[in-house]
Amino acid sequence: MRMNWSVFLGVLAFAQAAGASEYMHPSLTSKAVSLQRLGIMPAHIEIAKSGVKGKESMTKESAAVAEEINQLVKKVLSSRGFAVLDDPVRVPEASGSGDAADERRTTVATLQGRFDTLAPQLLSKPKEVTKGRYSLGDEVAGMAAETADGLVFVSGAGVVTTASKAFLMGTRLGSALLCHVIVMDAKTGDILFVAKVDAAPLSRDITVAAADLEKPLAKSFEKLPLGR
Amino acid sequence: MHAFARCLLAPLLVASGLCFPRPCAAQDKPFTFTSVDLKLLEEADSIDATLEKDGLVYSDTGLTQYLTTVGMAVVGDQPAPEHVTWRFRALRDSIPNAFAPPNGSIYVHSGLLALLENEDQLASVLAHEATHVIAHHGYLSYRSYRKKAAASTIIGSVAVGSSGASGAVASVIAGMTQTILASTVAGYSRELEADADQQGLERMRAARFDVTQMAASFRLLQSTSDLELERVFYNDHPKLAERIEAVIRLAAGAAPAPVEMTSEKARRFAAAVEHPARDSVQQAIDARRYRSAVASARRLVDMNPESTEMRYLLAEAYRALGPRTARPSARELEPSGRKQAYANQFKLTAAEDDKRLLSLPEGQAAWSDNQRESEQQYQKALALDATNFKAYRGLGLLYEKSGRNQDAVAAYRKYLELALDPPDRARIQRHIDAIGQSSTNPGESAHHSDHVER
Repeated sequence: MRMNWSVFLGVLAFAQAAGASEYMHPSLTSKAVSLQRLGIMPAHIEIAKSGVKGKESMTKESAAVAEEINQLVKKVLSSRGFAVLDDPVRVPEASGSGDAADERRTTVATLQGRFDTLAPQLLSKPKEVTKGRYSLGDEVAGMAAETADGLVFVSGAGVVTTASKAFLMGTRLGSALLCHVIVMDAKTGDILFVAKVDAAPLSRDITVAAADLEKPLAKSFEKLPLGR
Repeated sequence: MHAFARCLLAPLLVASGLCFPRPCAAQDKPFTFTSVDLKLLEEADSIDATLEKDGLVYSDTGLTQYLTTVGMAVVGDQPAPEHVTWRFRALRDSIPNAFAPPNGSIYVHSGLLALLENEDQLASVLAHEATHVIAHHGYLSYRSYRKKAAASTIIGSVAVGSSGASGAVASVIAGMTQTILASTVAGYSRELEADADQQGLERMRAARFDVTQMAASFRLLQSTSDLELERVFYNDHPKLAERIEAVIRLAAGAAPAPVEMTSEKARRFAAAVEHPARDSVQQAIDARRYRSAVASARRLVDMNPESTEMRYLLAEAYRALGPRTARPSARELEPSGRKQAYANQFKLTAAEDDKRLLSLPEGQAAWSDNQRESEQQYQKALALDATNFKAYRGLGLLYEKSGRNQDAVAAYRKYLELALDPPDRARIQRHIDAIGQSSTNPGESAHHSDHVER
């Protein structure tokens, strides 16, 4: 089971009402688990233009924002003192470089697929991370980079409301961008940390709006304990 | 498929036919591209890039070549329509589906490749999807969707005004309404779908494929429609039975291909799609579509009873099936049962759902049966190849889950011995240690987490 538009936008609606927050797994609060080396999975951001004539996906813009957010997460984590790995997944040994690249993409897709399967429960009740409710299963241990303590997933949704739609609906909202940043234990698959990072309304065009997330993102990661 | 990619595809899929048993219509007047169409085309190209980047497209050259050969045969040697470049590719997704964005990229899911039996059935899927592209159904449906969405926005504005809702939430809710509209209302009309079947069948005939196999492929899809109690487009696709009857009528008089030719095509098809078909088992497990995983693995075993790899996959599927029956019970198939199953999929994690089912007598009975079946299949895999180390790992996980700790440790040790340097060595060692610890402290469970060993 995977998320769809309505789930994603439902999450967005919820976040707009609830504001930003962070939740930690008990093993992280008790320092039973420590994180130092993190791998960052490719961010998955979905931006849609909401106009009078319906909702249109903005694939190219989504990809650009995802890349921007990836860089931002890397920057914020590095500045906190975490070691950010070049590759979040184990690079398989293969006969040719082409095969290895394909296997790597497959591993990323598999990990992301597992995350997507858990996402409906995780993102609807992120607070339950504090009870240790969520895990991707310890099979991920064979997929994550050997040296990784944790993997970072970024899942986000954005809406750009056109002027005509905003006028018709009587809303002032121009655009909004919400991200969930999730840290998973690379050994056990347990979800250790979830942060809702919200930037609405955005100060700039959505395609360059990731910068608006820097402050809230840095604030969220302040709470993520750095292991030694 | 990733949620992301699926979300991106939402409006485009509405415009592209979504799943392969879908209708389309003949277009007599020349098609004129508008700026909206060109925007949709641009989105289609971006989606190709995203699917590729996310690792969802199989890059297996042999497989792509095979799909292209069959696809180009049904498309024929006429020049590609304007703004169309034919590309036939397989996608990593266990849901049996195929779709075609208007730019000519035709994607077949691994779940569908695992379901189909031969080349003629594959040709029927590709012919149907190609018809959607050639007849510009994607653009036409998208235009129609936009008109309906505009109407919805006007209705929505009245509703919002009267309820007093404002700001972001209202905007999002109105957005959701349009999305629902897009997914459920603005699909291709029955006439268009029927037309795609008809034109697809003609393409098959022209390319000398066995036209009787279109109905056969629909029947295969129908046979899986009740397997998963999930709401996906293909299992509530209306009037599939009607369409089967229609294509049987259209194919009437056509002689089925000679048996030798059929078996040769089936052999060629099986060899070409073996990789995605095998993958679809694990993909289904990862997506919590356990019954589909068992069904896919069972088909693979039926085709290759002497393959240790296929036996291993079947064992894995039964282990993952856990406290469920291989087919839904009559109670589960009732509307209330479906509703409950759907709600549970959203509310409960896989581990929680397993726990809930195991608290029921029928869940315990199913787990007992599945445990036995899984163990037998692992043993058969090992009988066929004693060095199949993955089967030992599977046995270890199965035994550990069943509380047979000593057997589990023995199986894990055998796995580590045979696999030499497996990437999950540390993980398996942790399982062994946890079992050892639980033997020392009997009060402690061997399961260091409820979430392991899926």
